[in-house]
Amino acid sequence: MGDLENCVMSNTSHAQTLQAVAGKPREAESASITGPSEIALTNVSKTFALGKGQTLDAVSNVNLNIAGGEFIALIGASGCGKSTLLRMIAGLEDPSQGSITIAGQSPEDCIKRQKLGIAMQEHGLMPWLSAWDNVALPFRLAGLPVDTERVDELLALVGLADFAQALPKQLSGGMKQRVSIARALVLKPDVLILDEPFGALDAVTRRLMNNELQRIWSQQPTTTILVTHSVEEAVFLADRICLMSPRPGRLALIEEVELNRPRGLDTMHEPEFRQTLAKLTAALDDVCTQGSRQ
Amino acid sequence: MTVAADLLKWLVGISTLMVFWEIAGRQAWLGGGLPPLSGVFAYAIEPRSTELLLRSAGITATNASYGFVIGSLIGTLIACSGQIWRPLKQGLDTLSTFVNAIPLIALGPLMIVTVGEQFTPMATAALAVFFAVFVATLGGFERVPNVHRDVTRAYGTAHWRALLLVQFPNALPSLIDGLKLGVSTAVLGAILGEWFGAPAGLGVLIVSSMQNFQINLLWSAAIIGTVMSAAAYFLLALLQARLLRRLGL
Amino acid sequence: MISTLKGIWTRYWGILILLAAWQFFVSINNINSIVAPSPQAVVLSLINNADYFAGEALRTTLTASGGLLLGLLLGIVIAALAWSTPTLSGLLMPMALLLRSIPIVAFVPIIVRIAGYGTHTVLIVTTVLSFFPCYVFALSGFQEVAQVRKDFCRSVGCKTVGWRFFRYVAMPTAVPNILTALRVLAPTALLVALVAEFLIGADGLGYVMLRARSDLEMDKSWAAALLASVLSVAFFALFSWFDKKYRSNWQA
Repeated sequence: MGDLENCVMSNTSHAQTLQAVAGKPREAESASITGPSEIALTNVSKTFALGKGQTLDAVSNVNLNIAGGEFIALIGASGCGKSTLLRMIAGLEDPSQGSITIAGQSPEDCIKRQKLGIAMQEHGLMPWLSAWDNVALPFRLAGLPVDTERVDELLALVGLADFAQALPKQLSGGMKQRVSIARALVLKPDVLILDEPFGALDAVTRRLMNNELQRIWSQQPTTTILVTHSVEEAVFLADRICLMSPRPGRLALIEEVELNRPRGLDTMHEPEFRQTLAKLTAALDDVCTQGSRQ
Repeated sequence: MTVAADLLKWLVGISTLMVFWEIAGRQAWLGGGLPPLSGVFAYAIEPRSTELLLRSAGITATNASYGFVIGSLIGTLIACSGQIWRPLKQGLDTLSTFVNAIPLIALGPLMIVTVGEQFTPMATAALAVFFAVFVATLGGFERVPNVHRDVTRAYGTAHWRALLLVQFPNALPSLIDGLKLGVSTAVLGAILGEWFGAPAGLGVLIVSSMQNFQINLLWSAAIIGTVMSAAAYFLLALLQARLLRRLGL
Repeated sequence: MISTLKGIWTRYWGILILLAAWQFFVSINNINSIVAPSPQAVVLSLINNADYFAGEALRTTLTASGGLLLGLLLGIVIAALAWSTPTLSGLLMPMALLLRSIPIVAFVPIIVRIAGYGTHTVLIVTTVLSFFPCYVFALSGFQEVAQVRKDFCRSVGCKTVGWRFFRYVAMPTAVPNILTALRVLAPTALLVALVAEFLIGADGLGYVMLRARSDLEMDKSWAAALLASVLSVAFFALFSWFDKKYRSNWQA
């Protein structure tokens, strides 16, 4: 029944979306001029009903300001609410309390103006479309004319220009994730949201992909939020790392990463990198064991 | 909550259909071919027609049940024989695909000659069931985990013993799925088989009432056939849920 | 050469034995050709009346595939409506599930009574038969879009109801389901077309079976049955091939 109501509700707001898109056809373009947006989370909480009167506090009272163009990593144990927080920023869930603004607007407004790009652990590519068509899909879904040059440019950026016509099943796991990231970036979003994008890859590929992502990000400056299990990945990629404690999900620690950019595979051998990694790993272990003692 | 909502949907869906039918029948939207539901019902509960309908339904049910038992036994056995003696498998697959694709109605003449008009309904029902069960069982065998096969091979287990202890239990859920599908096919096969000169049964009733413009009888017979088939299906579905829970699957 | 024969044997021994048994059965019992014709008689009848049989077979094939395609189209359109209107799908689902366990052949005479005698009724019968399975398969296909794909669509400002989502995501997602529906239904559509022709006396292989039998031309009746079987196998094989060919493109 809940689903039914949901559908009916989103049906009505769909009409508004269409109007918004029709009224301002190239909102995305004007948005790209404004550049990366800052994000503000104020007292954000999320409570899920588990049924039989039980509730779960997934995220509790999170306050965070993210500067425009900053790369933030959210780390924490499984089930600490980091994905929920990310989904709220992406406008896929509404917070139970508090507010989220992206460049002063609600996440939903951001979505309507195609200012947001997401890539997840499951790549979610359409298996019946070639890599090229998958990257071009956001244009079609948003009802915009396909900018073929932009699609070519993105495929080249992720190093898959030669695989434009390949179907997802013909690509390796890492290649699929690169297509997924190209797809997230194709509409020139101001905010890039990454939920464990390399979580399903093997350790070696994952390191290479992190390096790639670092390179891509430096060429497409966007405000980026990455959720990951891997502290190493977080330290390598992020400007700031937010450590979340589980049940209820709170921000336990925020750590600046003082590593120079551009970073490369060598960065991982620098003492600074090792120190930050050791510190955060210890903090993570601490937070997790506290959580299990409760 | 969800069960209640589902039930409500069903109730509303079915009653909408019934009301729509009644109106369509009264207004004669589809001419004489669609009588009002109340008319069909009133006809069916007259003692004389009830007796006729129940007798025919009983015959069809008997034909379908025999066909169901015979067909599922043969289907399971043949699928198993392909497992015991591998070289048989490919030829069996082709044969059963062919047999399945043969329209049942094309087999009428053959059945009359080989098993006689009396037993044709059983034979067509059995054939219809056979394939559903055969395919489902084969599918079940395909899904036996390789680890299980390796274990039996490592212990040098005899083929038939491995079949009994490892492959068959693995294939059971799929086999039951096949039986579930087969049970409604059995009713269909029996009704069709009765068209080829069987002395009595729902199939005979349906064809004769069509030719004699006995619309109420025609609808009653078709509805009873449907109820029979749906009831058997749900009974097996219930049995399946029980059995699978018992087996921890 | 020998290996080819061996290959044919391992694959087709069942059918070959069936044919041999038929020949054996007829000759050992010295059966009158009015009761059961021999395989040669049936094949000869097919060859001697090739034009006639080809015409009737074509007719049956066309009505069966026409009905199948009409049912498919109708099923997809109604499923799309049901997809965009949850109330409608709630109302239709019980009926679709109920109709799935219906012995279809029992309703052929009813449709005949309503629609009258003629080829158009054969078409209606196959359409009605094909409609519900197609509806069920298509609707579940539309609803099968993975959460991660829905999330992605929402993130680019495309609501998961509405035309663009349907056209670019839900519709393509349902293709494998629709292929399955076609593969499963193809032989049944042919069967039901034959049944309808048989009952109505509309032109086609079903009627040939009926008339040749009442004229005691058993070889002709069996030839029609054999041809119908071969057609049905061909239908099944064609759609299975089609299914196999395109399904793999839907695996990511």
